[in-house]
Amino acid sequence: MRLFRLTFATILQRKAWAICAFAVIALPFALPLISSATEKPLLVQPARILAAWGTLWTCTLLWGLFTAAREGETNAKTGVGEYFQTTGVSATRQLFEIWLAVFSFVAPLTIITALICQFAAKPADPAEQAMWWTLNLQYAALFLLVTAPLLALATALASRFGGITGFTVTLLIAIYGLYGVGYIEHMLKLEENPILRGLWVYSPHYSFADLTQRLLFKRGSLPAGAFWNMTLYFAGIFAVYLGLSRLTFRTKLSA
Amino acid sequence: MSRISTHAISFCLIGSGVLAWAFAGRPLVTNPDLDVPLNPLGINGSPYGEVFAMAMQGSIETYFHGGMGTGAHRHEDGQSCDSCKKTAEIKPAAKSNPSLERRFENFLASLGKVSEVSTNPKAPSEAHKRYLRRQTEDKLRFAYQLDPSHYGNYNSLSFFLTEPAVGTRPELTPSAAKLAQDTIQYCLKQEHDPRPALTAAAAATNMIHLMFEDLKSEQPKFTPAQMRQCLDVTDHCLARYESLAKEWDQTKNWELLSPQRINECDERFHFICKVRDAAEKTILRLEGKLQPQASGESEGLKVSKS
Repeated sequence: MRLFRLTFATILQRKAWAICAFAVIALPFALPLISSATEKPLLVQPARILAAWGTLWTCTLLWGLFTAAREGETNAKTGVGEYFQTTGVSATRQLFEIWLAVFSFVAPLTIITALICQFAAKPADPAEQAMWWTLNLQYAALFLLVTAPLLALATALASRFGGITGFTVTLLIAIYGLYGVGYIEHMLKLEENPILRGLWVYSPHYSFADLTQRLLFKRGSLPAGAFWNMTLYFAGIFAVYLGLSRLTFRTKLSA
Repeated sequence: MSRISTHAISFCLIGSGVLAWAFAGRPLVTNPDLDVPLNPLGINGSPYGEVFAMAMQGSIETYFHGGMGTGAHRHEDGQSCDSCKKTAEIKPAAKSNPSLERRFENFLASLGKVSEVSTNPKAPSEAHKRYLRRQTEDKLRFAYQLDPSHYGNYNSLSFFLTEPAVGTRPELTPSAAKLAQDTIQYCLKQEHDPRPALTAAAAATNMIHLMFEDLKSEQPKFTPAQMRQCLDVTDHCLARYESLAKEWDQTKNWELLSPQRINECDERFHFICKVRDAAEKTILRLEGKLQPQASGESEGLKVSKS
């Protein structure tokens, strides 16, 4: 795990993670002050939920993917990857260790967000509180299941095509999955088109993993069946991205 | 591990992933319970959306000025608009107190004004004006989606949809009626703020107004009973406003609002009450219970409203 330790220490030393950690902790408490919650104190909790998960998505998609891409590019460009390969660390193992280092920063941010949401924005009704735990756990699990393969893909693409490509491609996939798919559905409602429908069905529907509105409108936890179905669905996407990442990742520029 | 077996593992992963993706995806996308309206970052209807909806008014005003043929903030016949009056009010104060900070503020304000000034002697073409009006309408719709319970946003959008001289889309009355119904539904769900109830009441009076307009056609679609129903909705909304306002009196929630916005609420409430009374008289006349002179009053109010 030397490459993991090296990557982890590098990210830690750059200190950009501190900005994300600060944003994730402070914004859920600061942003409600500029919302209409100042006029209607009842809205403080919804505003906090929205700020907490919105900040986490923004930090992970911008800083997380960028860091993953940069580490992948550095590994291939500077000869570090080649060095580790000569010591017997395979390409897949290197990809795993770099991914784990980045994931070790994203996972705590997710846990902090879920905890803020759990303790600083929980509903007063005891029946709703029990569901609140489940929903926060489900959200955190789905969030990590969605972002983890994107981080690996960013690293792998960056090692072959450069950091900018690794970052922008994965960011666009994420935004497309979160919102673009919804716009395609909107178009389909206006006019049916078989090709567009095919594209829509087999696009990554990341919006399923965005449970913010469920929290906001207190719709309760996801039914167990639907949750496990979603887990299987995102695990499928995970496997596809992992396969693609393994094929794309390289440890040196001329591999 | 050989190159072939590494690739084989990757392809197996992709293959099994595609299978899981396809099989689990179909029931998920067809499950209506998981259908969430498209709302990037959940901003529409959120506490942040309400703030942005208010902030949208500035840019809408700029487009409205352009779209109504006055160019980029340009006035004919030496007349001025509200925003110009406001700037004119600030200026004398600046002269009496020429501190460095104030001078810099003035300088910035003049730069802002210069950047908006139109030096093109030709008036915008009809196509360009139409484009600007459509932009205004799109912005109004966007602002409405951010906060459907905002009084100004709803009424401006409704005005755009019902006035053929300003709007750009062919469909008018049905879409405006749907807008009003959606607004009433949304606003009556807001249980902790009296202001959405006023928006709902305005939407109900707008619907009555549309029904009155319909009477001018050869085959009127609406009966006085339907108008009476709308009037009941207005009464319900006004009663709700009053009860929620009393609740706010007790919880001292009004103190969180600026005096200007409290006045705004009072004005809107009294205005809607007047419109409501005039509408009731017209309905009574239509029902044959009153002499025809009430109609004139209602017409007068409608004109002042638009």
